[in-house]
Amino acid sequence: MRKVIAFLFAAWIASASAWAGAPPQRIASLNLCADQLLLMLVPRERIVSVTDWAARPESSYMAAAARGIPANGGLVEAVLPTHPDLILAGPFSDATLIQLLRKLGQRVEVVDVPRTLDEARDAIVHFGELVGAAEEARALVADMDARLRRIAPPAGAAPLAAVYAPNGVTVGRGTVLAEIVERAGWRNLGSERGVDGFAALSLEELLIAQPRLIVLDVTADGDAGSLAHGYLAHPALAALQAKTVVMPPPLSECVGPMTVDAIELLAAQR
Amino acid sequence: MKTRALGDGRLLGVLAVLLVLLFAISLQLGPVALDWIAAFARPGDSVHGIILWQVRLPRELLAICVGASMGLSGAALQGLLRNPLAGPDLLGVTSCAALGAVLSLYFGLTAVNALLLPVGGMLGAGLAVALVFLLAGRNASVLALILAGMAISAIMSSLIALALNFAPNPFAVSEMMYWLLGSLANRSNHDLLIALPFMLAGWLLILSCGRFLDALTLGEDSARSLGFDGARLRWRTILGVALCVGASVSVSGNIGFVGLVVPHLLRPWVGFEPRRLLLPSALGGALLLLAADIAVQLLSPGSGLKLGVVTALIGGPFFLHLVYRNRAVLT
Repeated sequence: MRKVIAFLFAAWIASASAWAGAPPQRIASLNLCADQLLLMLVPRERIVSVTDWAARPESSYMAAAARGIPANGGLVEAVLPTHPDLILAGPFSDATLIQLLRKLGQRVEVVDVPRTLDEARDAIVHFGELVGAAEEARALVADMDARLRRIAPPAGAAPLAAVYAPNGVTVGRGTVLAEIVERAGWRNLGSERGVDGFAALSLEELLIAQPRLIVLDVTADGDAGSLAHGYLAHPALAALQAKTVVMPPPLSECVGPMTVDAIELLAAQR
Repeated sequence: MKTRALGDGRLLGVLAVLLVLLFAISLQLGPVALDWIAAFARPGDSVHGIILWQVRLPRELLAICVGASMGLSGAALQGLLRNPLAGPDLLGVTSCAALGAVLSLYFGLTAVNALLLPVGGMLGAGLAVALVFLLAGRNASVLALILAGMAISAIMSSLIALALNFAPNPFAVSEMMYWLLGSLANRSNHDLLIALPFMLAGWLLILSCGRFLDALTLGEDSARSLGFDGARLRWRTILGVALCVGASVSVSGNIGFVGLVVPHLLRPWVGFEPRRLLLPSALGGALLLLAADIAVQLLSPGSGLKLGVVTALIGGPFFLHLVYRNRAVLT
């Protein structure tokens, strides 16, 4: 019991010093998008733990940078021993976990996970201020904007592209994938059909629209069998003779510099 | 129950005509209105052709083949077990087949060879029929058989859930509904081709056991005294059912109740001879599944309504009705 009290006291001191305005030196993250921004903005010695996905190349844009940093698995018992002075959570992180951490005296900040590039600019700057890397954050946003300007507006009418995800799902307005498609100079089938967010699109409806480009949103290794991936391999899709591009999940799961990579990828298909 | 004086030929003729009719209707239905001229003029390179030949045709042909397999298996099991409440789903055969297919698909065997998908399904189906036989015995009461089947079914459904939870692909869990309820959405000619040879073999095996099933109605001993090699023919029937159900389930999931309902609906027209029930049950199963698919297309074209939901809504109440009518046997 005495150990616990001493530990809580130490944690309280740590969090109190963080409130005093000094940049946090021991940051833990419970959200994959926060992981990646953190790795872009903050030297790794100030990061004590990240999510399990941060170091996996199939889900993380910053996988190489995250290698070697302890993974916390979203578990209290993995986060606490690293003595963080700032814990970053996402809007969809487990609410009971956040409550528990706060009850234990930890400083938990819930950061915004932006869904569009315009939101991302503010979110990144705010994130930078929070983790004590305001300068770096502003530079990152400026670099993103410079890269976005370099993506040339293509000549002529925009051709039609369709995003097709496992289980026959397509994306429409309000999703980052639709924004990626449109900023890359394509029309997005889902947006034109009035889809908000995600909606089922039958194979027949996809075929009849005759998109020039099919963006396969394969959010998992296609070799590990599933029906969902079987649909994407339907021979009728191949018969359509549209170009197909696989959108790597690390480019489309969070919004930020990786989104610009995704736009460049699709713009190159025009 | 009265037996209508309708010849086998005429019954089969009526069923076949209905089947062609429903088949034509089902090809018309879908989320997209088809341009039939384009579909026939340029089958390979027009989008209407692709939709007709590569999306709708395999779907409806699979409905026919799966329905026929299920109807035939139901008739064969009811004859073999001399039990009016037998059916591939009630005995747990379909769930066990689904488990076999799930293991083969999600754990990489199908990537090695596509044929391992129906093979997994058939091994599962064969295992379940054998289990039912061992657990309930050949002369089991109606009740013992159904309870054994129910237990196997429950175990297999849990094992499917367990396998999908441990599958490496993150979409696996969301596909549980497909394996438990069944669907023909987004099936391709490839699925038809890998399942059809096994179904055909299963149909032939079951049809070749017709006379044995007739003899069985008089009892095992009478069948033996009539010169039938009981053990061999019983296993041949079981193998046929395993081929039919395993191949069907591996490409369409667990579409329930067809095998139970169809033989019952047709029995009054053929009298109580299991052999004469086999072919009509195959045609009737195909008809029922096509009709269910048409209902799905009309209710919610292009959305995810599972075919098995419709067949269970038809079959569930029917099963209750059977239980009610057979309550004397069951108590």
